[in-house]
Amino acid sequence: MINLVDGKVVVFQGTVSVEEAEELLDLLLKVPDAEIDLSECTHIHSAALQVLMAVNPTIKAWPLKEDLCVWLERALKNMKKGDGDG
Amino acid sequence: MNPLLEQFLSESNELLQEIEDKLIDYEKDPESEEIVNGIFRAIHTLKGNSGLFDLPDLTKVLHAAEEVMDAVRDGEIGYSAELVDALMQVKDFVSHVCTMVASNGNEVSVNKEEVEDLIGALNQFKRREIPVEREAEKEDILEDKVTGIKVGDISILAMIPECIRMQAYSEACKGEKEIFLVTYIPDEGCFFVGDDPFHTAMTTPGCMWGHVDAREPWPELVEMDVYRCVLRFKILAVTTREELEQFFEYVLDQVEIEAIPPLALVIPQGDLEEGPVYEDFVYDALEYIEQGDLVSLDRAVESLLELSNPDLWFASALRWLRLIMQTQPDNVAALNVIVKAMETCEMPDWSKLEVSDNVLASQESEERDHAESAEVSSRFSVVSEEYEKIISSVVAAQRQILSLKNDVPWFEGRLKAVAASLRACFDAKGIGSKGLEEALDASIKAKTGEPLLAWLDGFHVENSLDEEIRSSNVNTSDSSVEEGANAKGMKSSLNDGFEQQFALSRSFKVDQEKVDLMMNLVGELTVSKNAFPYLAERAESQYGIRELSRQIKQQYTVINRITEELRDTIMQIRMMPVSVIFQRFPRLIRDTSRKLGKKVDLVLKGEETTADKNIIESLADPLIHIVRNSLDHGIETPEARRASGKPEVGTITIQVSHQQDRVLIEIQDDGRGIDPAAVKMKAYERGLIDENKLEHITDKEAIDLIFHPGFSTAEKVSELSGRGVGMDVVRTAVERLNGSVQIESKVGEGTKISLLLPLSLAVTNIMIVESNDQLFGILMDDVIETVRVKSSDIHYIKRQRAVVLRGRVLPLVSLNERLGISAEQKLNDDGEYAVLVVKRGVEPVAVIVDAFRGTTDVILKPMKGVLADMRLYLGTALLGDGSIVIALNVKELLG
Repeated sequence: MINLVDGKVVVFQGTVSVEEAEELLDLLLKVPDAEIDLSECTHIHSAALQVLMAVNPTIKAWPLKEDLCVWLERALKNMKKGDGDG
Repeated sequence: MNPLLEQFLSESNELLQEIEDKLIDYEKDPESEEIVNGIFRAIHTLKGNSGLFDLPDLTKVLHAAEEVMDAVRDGEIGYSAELVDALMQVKDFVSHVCTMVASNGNEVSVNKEEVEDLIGALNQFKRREIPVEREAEKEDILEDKVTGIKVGDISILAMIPECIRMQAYSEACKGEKEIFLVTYIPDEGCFFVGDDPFHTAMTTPGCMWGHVDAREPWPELVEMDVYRCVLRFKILAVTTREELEQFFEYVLDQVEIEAIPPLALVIPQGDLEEGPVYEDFVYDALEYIEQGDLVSLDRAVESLLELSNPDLWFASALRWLRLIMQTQPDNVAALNVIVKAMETCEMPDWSKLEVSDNVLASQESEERDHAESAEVSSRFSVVSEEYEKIISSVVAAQRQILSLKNDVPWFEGRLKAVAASLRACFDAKGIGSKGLEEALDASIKAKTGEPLLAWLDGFHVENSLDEEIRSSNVNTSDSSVEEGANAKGMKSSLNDGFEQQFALSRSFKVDQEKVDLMMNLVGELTVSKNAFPYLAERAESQYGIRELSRQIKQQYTVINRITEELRDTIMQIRMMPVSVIFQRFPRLIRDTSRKLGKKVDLVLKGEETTADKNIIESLADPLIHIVRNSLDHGIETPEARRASGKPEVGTITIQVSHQQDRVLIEIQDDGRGIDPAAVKMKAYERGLIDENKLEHITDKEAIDLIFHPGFSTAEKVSELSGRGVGMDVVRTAVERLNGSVQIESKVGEGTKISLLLPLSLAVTNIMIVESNDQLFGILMDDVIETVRVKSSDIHYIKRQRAVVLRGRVLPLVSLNERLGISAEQKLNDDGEYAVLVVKRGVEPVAVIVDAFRGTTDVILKPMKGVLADMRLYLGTALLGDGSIVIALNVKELLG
């Protein structure tokens, strides 16, 4: 589930499903400088992950769930925008 | 421009050419994997290179092209002419951007729409094709992939943190499980069938590490299709193949499972810092390993680890060494490899690792000696091609040494040395040297190298050693030469052998300006050298020192020879094969014939013929013009060709050959030919000829009219050749290069255009003549002969002077008159005129001058600045005595 809090932080909670991917993209397009709070997130569907990777927003908090955190950090940290392949 | 960018541009040009060539080959042979791979590689390299510079659009387009080619490689996209068109457009775009970069530096403005269109066009191919189920094939690929470590993977493995690699390594060493690198590229539409690849990847059995990235650049966010999966996963898992295959059962066509030998994970990383401590350690460690003293080794490792900064490369290597000792204390080969790697601070050698790993896989505690010998032979079982070549050259050298005379006291020693070298070579190749000792003994007894040579020959055949040895073999027949000279000769021919083998890697690029400068300097040298004969003459005539004069002349011949050799060498450097311009033709013909709906085959002959770079470059445009003309006006449509009984596919042949010191280029088509009557009428309509000429003109002369400025027979203005530039442009360009054009044509059968050009523009042979006390040069190519004509032999036909020469009446003109000099031409003491017979078109003309001054080679400098437009003068040249001669353009002079 995703929620926009205070108009600038997108909070991910529990599992973010495939249906929410489009919503996420719309949200991030509307609020380009939004920050992401992943702390309570347990899983992100690939489609939503793609959106995060493409937009590459600032991550305010990483997931508490360890393996998800490791994967996401690798995917989203140090990623140069617009550069998919090394 | 910075050197990096410069190099990028020059490499890009080559790659682009390669892409174009290969695309055309691809059209002819869409099944060839080699061609497809070649295109992919070239695009891939180009993309990688472009990433170094701030050219995001370029990289984006290339990336899309790479993706498409990748899919072609995998058989997901089949051949289509549209695909080639799209890729050609990419090539053109990249070429365009590179040209912009070359002229404006990094400031490049690219039309974003064009970029989007290109990418869109490329992506179309990917979406259109639905991946076919090819389970069986895929499995074959999987099988293949299990063996060996590809270099590309090392970079992925190196991304994995050391602790994870160590953990995986330890797990795998326990023996039950293996290490796998899984590449999972989910289907684009996988979301619609309920797949969540991210979830799948994360839950891979035995997953130790994983990485996700996008397989193509992200689009603009507003255009992003969130439901098209473009993710790509790399997963390192320690498990069994069965388990992995079971897990990925439903997406097996989207994953690639690659077994990784545990030692492949041994990638020391960190800051490089060398020091005496480490060098000592390597020395000690190798000794400990040799003695089997692992306890001491372990102690040494521990103490050094305590002392070292853990971030150092060396510390990382030490940790690996420790781990290998703990997990596989028997694997001496592996220990050796890593310690040796520490010596040079380089990556442990993979080729050795692979075999060592086999040793590990068998898990048999083999004898140490055995392991070592396995290591030795393995080292050579992976001998690179280069290595092979070196061995070959060593063998060839031995062969030559054996054929030397046996008249030296150290002959026996020499034989032994040869035998030792041969033994080492064949051992290195892993084929042993059976029978060598016997041959050596026989040789020593017989005091000749023959038995060894015979052994070498026999052995070669048996072991089918590569032919190279034989072919690169050195000439052994010069044994009659003195020993000293022989040894010297051997050395140089040995060098030759090496040079041949490394010829490719030893060529380098030089800025053309430098070669031009060298050429100019040689030109100056040629001119200054020419001063010596004058000097010699003065020494004799003015100062009366005949001996000095003779010596100067002697010295002159030496300098002359060296200068000429130097000049020839530099000319050789400037020589390029004509294939350089031929490269453009396949594309030109392909595009043009597609546009015109014609079918044309291009036959290129004599591509290896060489000529000066300037000539080749200036020829490119005229040639393209001629070929376009042939395509547009010459070759008929398939229907017309069928109707006239010709094969549907027309042929354009371009043939290049050397004709003495000139290059002959013939462009022939089997099209409709040129109709002289049509040309005549056209020329008359255009006012190029009058009625009188219209009636008397021969067919050949009529055809030559197409070279007349402003002439074009195209019935309609076409995009291709009817652009107001006629064949006259071709003729002008060729004549500027001191060449000539000829055209032959038969209606219904085709047209042949022949261009005859000098090999080089650098040195010009001119005849020097004197008129009114001035020197003038006439190109030797224009001169037919020189004769003396008595004034009484000059006839007047109407007002025109003429002379009868060899039964022909030649018009006679005076050079002074033509040059606007009022003086009369001088007669010699016998009352004869000096007459030069020169070519004016096809007709010879006699020109009276005052005196002949012989011929000489000069470096002709073209007229510059305001004088450049004076077409009467070809240029100026400096003579040996310091005087300047002006070379005359005969066509202008007599025209």
